[in-house]
Amino acid sequence: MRFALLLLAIFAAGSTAAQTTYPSRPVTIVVPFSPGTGIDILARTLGERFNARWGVPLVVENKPGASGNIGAESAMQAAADGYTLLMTATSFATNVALAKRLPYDPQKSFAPVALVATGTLALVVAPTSPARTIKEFVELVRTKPGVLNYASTGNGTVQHLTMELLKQALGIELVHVPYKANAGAITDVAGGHVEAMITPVHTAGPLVKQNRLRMLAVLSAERSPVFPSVPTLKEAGFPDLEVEVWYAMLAPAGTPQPVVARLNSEVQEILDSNEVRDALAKQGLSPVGGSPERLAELLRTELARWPRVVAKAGIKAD
Amino acid sequence: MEILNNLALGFSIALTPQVLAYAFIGCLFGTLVGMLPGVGPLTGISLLLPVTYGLNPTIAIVMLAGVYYGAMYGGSTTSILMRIPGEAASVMTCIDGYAMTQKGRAGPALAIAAIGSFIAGTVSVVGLMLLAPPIAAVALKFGPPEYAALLTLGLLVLAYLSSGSTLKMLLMALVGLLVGLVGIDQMSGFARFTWNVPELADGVGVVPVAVGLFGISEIMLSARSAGALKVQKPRLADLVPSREEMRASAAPILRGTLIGFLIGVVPGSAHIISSFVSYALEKKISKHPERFGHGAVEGVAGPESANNSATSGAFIPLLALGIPSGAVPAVMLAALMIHGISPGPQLMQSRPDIFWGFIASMYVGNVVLLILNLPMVGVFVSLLRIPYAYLYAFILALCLLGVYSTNQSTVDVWIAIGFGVLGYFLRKLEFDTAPLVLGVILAPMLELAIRQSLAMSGGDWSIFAKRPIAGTMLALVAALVIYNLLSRGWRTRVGLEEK
Amino acid sequence: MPRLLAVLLIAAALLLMVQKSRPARPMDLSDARITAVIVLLLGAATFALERAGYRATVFVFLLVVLAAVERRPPWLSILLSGGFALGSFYLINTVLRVPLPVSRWGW
Repeated sequence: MRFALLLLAIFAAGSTAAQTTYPSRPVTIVVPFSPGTGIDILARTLGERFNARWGVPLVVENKPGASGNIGAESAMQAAADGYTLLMTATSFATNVALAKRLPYDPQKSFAPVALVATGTLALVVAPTSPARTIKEFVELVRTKPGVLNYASTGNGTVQHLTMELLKQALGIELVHVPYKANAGAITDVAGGHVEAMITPVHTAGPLVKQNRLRMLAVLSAERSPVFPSVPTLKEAGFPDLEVEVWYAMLAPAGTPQPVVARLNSEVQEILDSNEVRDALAKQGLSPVGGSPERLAELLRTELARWPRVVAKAGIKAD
Repeated sequence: MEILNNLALGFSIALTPQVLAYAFIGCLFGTLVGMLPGVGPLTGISLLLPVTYGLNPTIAIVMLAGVYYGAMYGGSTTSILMRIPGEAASVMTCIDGYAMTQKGRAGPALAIAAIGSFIAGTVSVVGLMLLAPPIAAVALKFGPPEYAALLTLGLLVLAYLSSGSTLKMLLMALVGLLVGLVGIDQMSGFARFTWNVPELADGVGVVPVAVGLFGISEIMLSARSAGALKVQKPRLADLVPSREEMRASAAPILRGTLIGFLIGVVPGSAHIISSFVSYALEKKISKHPERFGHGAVEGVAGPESANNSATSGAFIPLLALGIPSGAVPAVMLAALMIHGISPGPQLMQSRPDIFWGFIASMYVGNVVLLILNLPMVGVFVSLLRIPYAYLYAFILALCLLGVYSTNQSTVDVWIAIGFGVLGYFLRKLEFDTAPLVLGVILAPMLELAIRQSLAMSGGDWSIFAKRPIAGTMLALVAALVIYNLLSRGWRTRVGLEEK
Repeated sequence: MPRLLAVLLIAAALLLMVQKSRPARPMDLSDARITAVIVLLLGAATFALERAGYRATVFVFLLVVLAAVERRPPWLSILLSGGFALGSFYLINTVLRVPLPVSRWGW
């Protein structure tokens, strides 16, 4: 009898917990990639700040696999009470273009919370390459179609797809050499084994500064503050291609509006702090923030864009 | 000498109480993390990273490096005491380390692992210090073809790992290679052997395989006699390695250090195979190869040293060039950049305090870990006093915990259980399971390297011969294979004849 | 590539069978029963892990192994199982902040 009462009390306590102010217990953010990756570090950075502001821990749960699909699926299935969140990146949109079937619906399974940060992509070439500007590069490749190589972090990754997009826009042919991780890819470009690759500005940064890599162009609207001498594609006279790596926070669909709003404003405040801006800048990321609608808008554009690239380039996955 | 001056500068920074305290915390944390099967230095470093934001760069880096080293040390503890590999690199230590434990020599095994790791760590830090820039330049020359050649050499190592019939070993290796190929193919995007299980898309994972094959199967084999197993009552004298053991370990430690360092320098994840290569080498040059697998201390000293020096070796491309050679150095790179440090040759000039402070702290970290671990040997060994009947329950729970936490995935645990059952039968049938694990590790890397090379050359296989480093290594491999085939022992080894 | 390996595997297996066999001892399966029990328990635990939560699963798992399989005194088994389940959860989940599964009811 007493046991039954105890059980009842626990149930009651559990259900009232939902009504107290959010957050009243630890929040989990699912990161669908392994620890140590850029997105993971970003999530942990946010987590540390949330912790300090709320007094309640934000725990990072790494659920890597299938380019982020496993983590996404797991977050989608969680209760939409604001205690489980998902951190995601550009691959969220590119996966849709590649997979035949997804365990989730990118538009409907999730509620956008905030666009956290973006990173600029750049085109880099090996130090041994004769091309010193983007124009020379394009000419070089046009004279040797299908001979020169480019590296990427794997089939279907943003770097791969962006290069395909670039190839389509510039009308050039390069052979794809996929790698498992950014480290290997960029090392081999620096070593001259592969001619070029698309990579985030901050990853290439240290190597470019040592002249072990040459940055030919940035794929953004404006020049990168870290490398002011590198032109944008538009400035160099080529079709304006803007591809950014973006990182965002999502919540399962149906999470109550006030919770989403609260999270969004917290993220905004965290991103406004100097320490975080600084840390992000050093990683080559620009903090964004903005309303959930802004994120929703980005998702819409991205989800429209990538399937076209994939179809045209004939890329398949599974 | 300028280096001594710089070192003095480094030590003056590293030996301040604050830095030491953080180094200690990092090492402790790392050891704890390393002891947990599956959860490795990557997780540990990522966990502490945000905590370091407010700290000054030297302290932050020192603490994180401490985690890395600590994890290496911690991994050997569970390997030796319970035959559970903390991560892929500790697999070889399980074999002879656990055998030593069963013979009552757990203390010496742990001690030698710690001492070997310390010596290796220290020597390789010195190597790092002196040779960083030139080695880094050579490391850059390693492209996919060279990588493929190196891994092929690793495959050859398999041949030396077998303690029984070569054919059986071949079988194990093939199974391992096949298992390693499960997952989405990097180049074409096709899913192989994944049977629509999304968790398998990235491959089977070495940790569940190793933990299951070694740890869980061991328990299945020993549980029956749990009641009858005599409880170990180690005396103090048993904790210290005997003079012979020390003498026998000396050379393997040095060889292991060298091997680990060279392999670790190569950018990429090849450093995992350093412990395998060391084990194979020790077995090959030993006068009593049959002792391996039954508690040969060389089988612990070599691999453990190789492990640790590979760790330092892996930092060279990072510090000298700013190129991360694997997932862990990549996080360290992120950490460095967050603290405003751009590693590379100018680091030595522009921020000598950081560079040399880091080097000094790696040395200090090794000392801290030695101090932490040696007395703990007594504590750990006394764990063995617990009757096995109790112990194995906890070990199983530990395996469950460790394998799950790596990827928050129950699929991994199922894999571990499956391989546990497989391991059970394999050992009953007297198959040596180590080649299987090596196969799982090598397969994806080797296949990718070969296909990348072919992509680079446009399908031309001669790329392997045309490039000097790759060509030389492959010639070496070919020579070794031919030598082995021609030597008299061939027919007996393949099992076509009795000895 | 996997096809190549599969072919090699089958070839090797056949060779092994063909080879002059040493007098083989019949496989010693005396511990098959306890092995099967362990596998079953591990399987059940894995199945339950994300549904019942880490602490409950590990507690029950350990309890069954200690008390039922090894027949250790019940009070001791409960104590040890509970201690390990709670202790490890605290260490890993709270101190190290590596998330461990928690069931829907918070345990």
